[in-house]
Amino acid sequence: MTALLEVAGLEVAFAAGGFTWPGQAARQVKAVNGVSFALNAGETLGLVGESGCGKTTLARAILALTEKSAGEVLFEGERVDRTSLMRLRRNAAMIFQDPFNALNPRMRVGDILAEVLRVHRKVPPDRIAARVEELLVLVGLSGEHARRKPATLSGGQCQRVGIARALAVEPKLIVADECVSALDVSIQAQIINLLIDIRSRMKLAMIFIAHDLAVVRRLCDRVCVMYLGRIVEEGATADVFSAPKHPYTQALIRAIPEIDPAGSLPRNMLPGEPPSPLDLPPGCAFHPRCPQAMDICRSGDAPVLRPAGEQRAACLLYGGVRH
Amino acid sequence: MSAPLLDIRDLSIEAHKDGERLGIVERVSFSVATGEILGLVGESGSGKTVTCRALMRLLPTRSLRISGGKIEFAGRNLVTASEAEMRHIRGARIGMIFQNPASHLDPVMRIGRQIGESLVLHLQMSPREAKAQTIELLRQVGIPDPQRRADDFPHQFSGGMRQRAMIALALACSPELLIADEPTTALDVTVQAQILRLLVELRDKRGLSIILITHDLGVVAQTCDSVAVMYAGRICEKGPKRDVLAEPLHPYTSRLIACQPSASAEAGLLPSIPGQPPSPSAWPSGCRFHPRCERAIGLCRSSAPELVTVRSNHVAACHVTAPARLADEAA
Repeated sequence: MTALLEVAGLEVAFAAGGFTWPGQAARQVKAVNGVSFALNAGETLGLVGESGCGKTTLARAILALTEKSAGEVLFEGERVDRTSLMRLRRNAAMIFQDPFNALNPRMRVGDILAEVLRVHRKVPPDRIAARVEELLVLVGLSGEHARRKPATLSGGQCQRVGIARALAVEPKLIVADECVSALDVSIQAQIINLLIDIRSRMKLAMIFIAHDLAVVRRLCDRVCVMYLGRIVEEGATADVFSAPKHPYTQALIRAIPEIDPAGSLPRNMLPGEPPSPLDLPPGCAFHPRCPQAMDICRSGDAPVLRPAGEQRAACLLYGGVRH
Repeated sequence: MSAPLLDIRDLSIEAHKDGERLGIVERVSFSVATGEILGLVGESGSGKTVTCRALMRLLPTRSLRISGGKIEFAGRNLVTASEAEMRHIRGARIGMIFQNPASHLDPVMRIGRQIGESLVLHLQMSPREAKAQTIELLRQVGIPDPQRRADDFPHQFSGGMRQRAMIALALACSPELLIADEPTTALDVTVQAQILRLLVELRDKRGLSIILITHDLGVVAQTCDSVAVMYAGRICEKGPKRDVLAEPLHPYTSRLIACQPSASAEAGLLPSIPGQPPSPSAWPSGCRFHPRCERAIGLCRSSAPELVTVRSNHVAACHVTAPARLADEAA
């Protein structure tokens, strides 16, 4: 069986600003650097990492919303290029982080959803109103909301409309980019439950981007941890959380604030902040912050993903010594 | 025990809009002792930020007004203090840091000058003394190479560094109280832990009192001594951190703890709170949480519960759980 989505060696480079001498090559930032993974139908993949690690860029490049500079994206075994792009667009949808900004403030909720149905010719014109109501009910709103404008809705309700709009294309793949991080805790739980429910009812595959690992633990089958444009650890969610291999993943999981009545701040916290992607350190990009860095981590190419326990990690602690 | 550094009693805040009066914050009371870290928890719109702005007397006077209660800070009532008095308290004795340091630092002024400015103004230091003191402050909040970084502009700092600079600025005049309004919400988890560690260390070293406004009970568990939970403009529960988190009394607190995902839990549905937080123009009658509460009884709809002391310092405002627990304790 071919995977629903396959990403191979994906790279996205942006021109960096700043002065360059005539004849000098323009500086580039590689926001995504050699990322490969596969996603099966009905599977949920979590993409986690700190801000600036390239998770959003990766998601946008997969949906061809941002141009990739190298690598391939295969959807149902078929390469996504200009001619086959429409097929991807009819089968994939995105949910955005800021529920207010993702909706047109001048359109009524019903029109926002109807537009998708019309453009993709999902239902005959006379059935559109009924389908809009169906979609609203599906995400826990009611037909009454179709007449409202986004400004009269709360953040959680707007996010539900965003989800309804994504479901309107009847996608096989949904990319959710930090879709709960702007919401209050009690509303966040409602939206996560809605996603879990819809996913199992409609057999959706999902790429769930988050910086909150606890949310990923709840929702995802597999998880990819990104650091500065690369995947540093990949595996089944339960394995990665119970026995994280990469020192970065270990630090991330340790830093999750748990509601422990006797809790205190974690010891041996990660020092420093991620370096600028413009000026990546040689070797493993994580070595300046890594408590276990060895001399071989400080030079050469970045380590590649290798088997480590049940999962895979891009770390020289798990074999692959180059000497 | 000596009097607490800050004692807020029955503070109420009103908004007036189109001739209408809306109670934004109603009879909020809490106190902060010297060297204590109090977590003020609640969802957006629960009134936690407005309460803290009020105690700095930074409310926009045209739309919001303190309508009752008192704020006693080091023996002085800030509600009746004159603007001239407030100027000596704000920044000098009460410092404040915000969620988004980038928008609270002057983008066209060097970091060092911004900090030095308050030293010159409040402590009448000479520019030379102020510069030396600024570099010392930057060093204390963990900015590497402070001598050089003092001449940087805010945009040359990373997010975590900017928050450190903001903390240095707030601490410049050695305030007794620091109000931290969601100081780590905009930061990454690994950097969040560093900033929280810094705040706890400052408390340990300087005996600083901190009000930490947050929506994250995990952060409260890691850093606070006590916690006050706000819902819809009222305090629904407060007490020592351990008691409140281990044995929450108010159904809102228990649900809030339950619905925050934990990294150790299994996959699957999360407990959630149905509905959404109400807005001030449509506060529910009685207990404001009753439309979302699974344990609500008839009484909850008609009368607002008072805060009841259930155990030493642990109080909750609930018609159902507080009396039940009181009976248990008595038995």
